[in-house]
Amino acid sequence: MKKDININQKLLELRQNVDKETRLAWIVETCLEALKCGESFDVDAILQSNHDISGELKTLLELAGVLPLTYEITKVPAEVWEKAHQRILEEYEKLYPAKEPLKVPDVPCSYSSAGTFVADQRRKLKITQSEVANQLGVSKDEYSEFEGDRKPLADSILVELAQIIKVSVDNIKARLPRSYNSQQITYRPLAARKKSDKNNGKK
Amino acid sequence: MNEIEDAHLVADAQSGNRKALDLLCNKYKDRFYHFISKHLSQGDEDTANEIFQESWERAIRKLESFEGESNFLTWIIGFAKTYQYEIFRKMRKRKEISLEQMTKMDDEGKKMSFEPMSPVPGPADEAIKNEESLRVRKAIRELPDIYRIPIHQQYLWDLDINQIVENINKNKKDSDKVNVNTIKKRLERAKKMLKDVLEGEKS
Repeated sequence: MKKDININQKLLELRQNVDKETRLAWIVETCLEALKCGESFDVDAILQSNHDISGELKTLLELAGVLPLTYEITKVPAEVWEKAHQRILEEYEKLYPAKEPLKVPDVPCSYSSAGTFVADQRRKLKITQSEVANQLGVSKDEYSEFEGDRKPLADSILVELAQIIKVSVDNIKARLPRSYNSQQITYRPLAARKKSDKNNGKK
Repeated sequence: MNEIEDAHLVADAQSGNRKALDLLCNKYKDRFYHFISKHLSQGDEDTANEIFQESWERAIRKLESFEGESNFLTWIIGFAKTYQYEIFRKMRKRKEISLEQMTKMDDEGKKMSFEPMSPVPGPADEAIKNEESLRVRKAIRELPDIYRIPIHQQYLWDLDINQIVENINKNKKDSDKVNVNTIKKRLERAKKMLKDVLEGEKS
């Protein structure tokens, strides 16, 4: 069953029930909202109706950009900010500890994590898949399949890849599946591949 | 002040992005300090510095709870005011102790008088009242602009109907101007909509 609400009473209580700080914040927010909607309003009338908080309200409206600033803001002294900033960072670090660097797993884990790991490292260095593929002398599709965990790469290519993304090759290899057998992959030395591809291109 | 940019900065800081946190802090540090030194520290630089540092620390600890519904500056000012109140309470407590000591002195024949503390509603009462007002405020925010604006102006800004009409007609062409009756009707319609929403929530 619906409960009958006295809406007039509820609306009147909006100003009466909240503390001054909340009322202050709400007035500033509604002024900002009104400005965003392109509405005009008389700030003096608001200040007059809220004379009990008019001093703080005026300052807040100025600081929030609703009213133009007619004076210079008192800047926080450098040494005070330095201390506060230090404490801010300490608190922040407690809440969001810096992520630990990825460790080489003791036991080779799933194949998929090798591709993801490499992709993450590559993105950190802001290198595209095409750039890496080009440096490795493999096609972009081939490289993309490795990152997508669909195809392995030869050991020697992994060594080159590790150099490009600045990690140790063991770090990549440790993430490859047990079933991974690089011996099964036909490998052509990079220089030969590049030379051959170049010749093919010319043809 | 760019609200959208703030919302992004806060969201990024909440997800552990330290750079976003630094940008946010740098953006508001001076404005925040200015407000404290002008309104909360009664001209005492040491108190201003203490409030500034302590409230930043508290705000960072509660950063996760910032939902972006209010302006960031008014949000951190809330922490400053709470801390200022705590300082004030400590000072009052010290005074009470000295009054007790004075009573002892009374027994020794020296007459002293003091005013008892005024009764203050308990934190539980305040919380219930605030929660109810928050619900109403949230429902108002959902209203279409033409209904939300007059409700805000009447019940949050405490303006009378003529002032609301004047505000709404500001910078408008004659053909777009509204009269007192239109605003009264919008207010009635807005209240009906709010009543439906709030009763729906209660049922």
